[in-house]
Amino acid sequence: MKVGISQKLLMEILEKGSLAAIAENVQSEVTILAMLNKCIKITVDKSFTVESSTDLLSVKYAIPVSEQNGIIVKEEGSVLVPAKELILWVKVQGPDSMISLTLNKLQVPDVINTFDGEVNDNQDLSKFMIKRIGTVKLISKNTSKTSGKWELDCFDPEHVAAINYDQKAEKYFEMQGGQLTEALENVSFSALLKDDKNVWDAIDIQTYAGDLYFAATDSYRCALYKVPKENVIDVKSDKPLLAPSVILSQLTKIINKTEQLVFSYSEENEKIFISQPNLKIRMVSKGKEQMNRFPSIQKLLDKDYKPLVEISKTLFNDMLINASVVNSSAALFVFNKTDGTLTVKAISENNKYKPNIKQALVPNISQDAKLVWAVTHLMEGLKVMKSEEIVLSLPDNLKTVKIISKEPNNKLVYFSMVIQTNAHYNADIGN
Amino acid sequence: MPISEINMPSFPSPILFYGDLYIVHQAIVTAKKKYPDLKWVTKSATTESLDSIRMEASLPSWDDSEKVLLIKEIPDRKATREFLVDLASSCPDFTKLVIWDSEQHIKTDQKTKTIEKTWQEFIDSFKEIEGAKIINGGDQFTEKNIDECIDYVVKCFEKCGKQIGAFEARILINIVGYDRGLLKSDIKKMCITCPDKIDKEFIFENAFPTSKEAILYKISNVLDTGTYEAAINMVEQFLNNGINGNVLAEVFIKKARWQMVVAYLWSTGMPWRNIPEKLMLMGKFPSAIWHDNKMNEGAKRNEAEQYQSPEGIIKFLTDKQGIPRRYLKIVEDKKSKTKTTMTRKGAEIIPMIFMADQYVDAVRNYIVTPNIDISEEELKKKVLNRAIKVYLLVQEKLANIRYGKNSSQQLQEIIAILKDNKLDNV
Repeated sequence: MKVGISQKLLMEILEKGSLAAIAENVQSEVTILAMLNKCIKITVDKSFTVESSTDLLSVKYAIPVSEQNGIIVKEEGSVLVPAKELILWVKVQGPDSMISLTLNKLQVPDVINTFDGEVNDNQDLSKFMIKRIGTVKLISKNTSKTSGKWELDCFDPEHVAAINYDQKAEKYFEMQGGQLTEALENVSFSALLKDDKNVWDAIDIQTYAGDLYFAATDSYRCALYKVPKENVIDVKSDKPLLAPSVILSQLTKIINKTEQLVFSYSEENEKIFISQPNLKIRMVSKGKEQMNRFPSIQKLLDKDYKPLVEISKTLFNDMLINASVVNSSAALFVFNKTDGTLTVKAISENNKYKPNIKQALVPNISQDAKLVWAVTHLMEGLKVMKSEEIVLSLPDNLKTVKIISKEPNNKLVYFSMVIQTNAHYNADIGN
Repeated sequence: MPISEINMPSFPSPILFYGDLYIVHQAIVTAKKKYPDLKWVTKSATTESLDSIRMEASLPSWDDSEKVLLIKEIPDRKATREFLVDLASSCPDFTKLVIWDSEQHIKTDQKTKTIEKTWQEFIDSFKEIEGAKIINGGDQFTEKNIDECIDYVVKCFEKCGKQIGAFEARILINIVGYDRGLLKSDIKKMCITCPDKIDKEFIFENAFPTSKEAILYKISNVLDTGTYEAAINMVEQFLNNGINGNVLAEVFIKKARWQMVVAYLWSTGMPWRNIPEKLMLMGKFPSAIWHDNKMNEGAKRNEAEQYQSPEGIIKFLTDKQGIPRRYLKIVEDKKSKTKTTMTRKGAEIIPMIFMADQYVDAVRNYIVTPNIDISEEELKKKVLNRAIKVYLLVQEKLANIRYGKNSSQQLQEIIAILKDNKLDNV
């Protein structure tokens, strides 16, 4: 392989195509050949392609080869090189540099044995062998004639199994790339980073009543984001997708925000396929059992909530911050319809701090209510509310609180469970 | 309440676990498997605020599922105890509360046979809560309650349909140690292959040693009864299991030293049958009492008991030995400021009579008997001479290991020296 490419373009391709090799939390198994998971495969033929793959995520980014693109191919071929090292080197070469990558093949490949243990007679050691086929010579030159040279080990590209991104998968929908980023910004904070049950660390994507929703919950609160209709097209399935939150969040770094994203799902191997014109992604999906355990969006949206109060987000947030000084976990919220006041009282266990009370005049309270809410959960929910005015609503059983922005075309709904306190605690807090 | 009772149709709540860490940990692991649908949330009462624990207990799950809140690392604080009792008495139905005294504050004092007062009050308050279960995983065994420990080992074997005598159980404890968890795990493992009645040899062969002494007994047994190859294999096995070569060499030094003592006692004319008893007295303080032939065993123990503390040692040296008081002073260890009392390390002792027998039998059967073709006087001299030389050579090999020479090679040479019973060879 021998190719010349501008630094700026190479950097863009590397940053996108190498995501699976350099991102954290996109690998569940530490395999014997873990070293290969940190490598990227660069293929040059009619397109310049960078691929990386782990058991949870595979990414392929390709752009057509042309001189207009700043790519000059002298010899086609394929190399497998360490991702991090290559990116670090390319990054410091300057944006006006031209970079050439040349594979110098060894006459006889080096075989590196990664097996570290006792060998049995029947053991097949070939799967522990890595073939080093040569070195990739890197040369950079810029307009001021400054140049740089380096070399990286090149392993046999055959070590990386080819991923079939075009395999038979059912198309679900298409949405604008920027919408995925916005949806995740609004909901992913509600998911757990890691959950033993494999449910509460996922983002649920599903359609309901013709709208596409993103939902995340840690089982104590839930954020629900509705993607505007105009940004979703070609909805083919109303089945849900349940994807690991940490992996979806990584994807926002590489997708093109202005291009359409196509979401497909292969039920056979439980994989989600996401694609843009130059980008192909394959990621794991949660299984059917986990999907069944995730709360139904329909139930959340259909449940009858009565508005309790319209309140300034800044005022409500100040009251929460005030309460969190004493107890960031829980506080009593007293809504007094007659006086038009909201009182927030926080106490701490064993009187570690004196009780903290803050009261504010809040007109338009629709009913009296005394409830203990999780302070941090509410504060985190308010952070993603866009408008200054918010509406708090309660269901008849008072088990949850629903918060929405008071604005036309509100996209985010946030639910938080009410804390069920005991008589002793209620007496202490004056509930 | 026995641990097996948590295998109930619904998870009981609240539960207080205390006692042996391994047993309790196993019970929790079993409970997690038994109730896979419950969501387990673990909180530390030391590193996390009581407010956050209260919130976790009181916050229902979105899907109305039940959860188990496991609170561990409970600090020795009155406020925390009061909080836990309050929380346990008022926990919502959807939260199953499990409190685990993982710091082992709740334990029975060996002298008074009672639990410390504040923790006893905590247990009493907990008992009054409706539906509360208290599960005691058993106190940690020590040398002081060796009889209970033996009883525990015997019962563990009985549960598996196997029989073990108190003597053999004691050998097992000496090899494995007093840790209830390690004992249980070793017994389980042994029960897979052991005969219906377990003998000393089976334990030596199969018990996993956890101390230098235990390794010594196992190696001694192989050295005295097995071949050179068997001893080498065992040493290699220990090295592969991560036991330092230095530790093994020290074990051999002990063996050589005790053999030297046996050889000396025999060379002075002491009959073989008296030597084990004499060995058992060695290293015990004060030696003047333990070696007093006019006192019986019980009287020796009672008399020696009062001289074991630093103050007792001074008392013995001044009152019994006549050393002036002004010559003696208790110097406290400045490094450990938290310790108010000193622990006398004491000389090396042989903890059980069968081990003394082991040393004596080895010298008698393995070194003396094959060489009886020379006169007894000459034999005594040569046996003692051999024992001294063996001891010095093994010391030399230990030094080589400490200087970084190949441990495996040095240990093999030590075994060759110890196994060589030709009196003129060493």
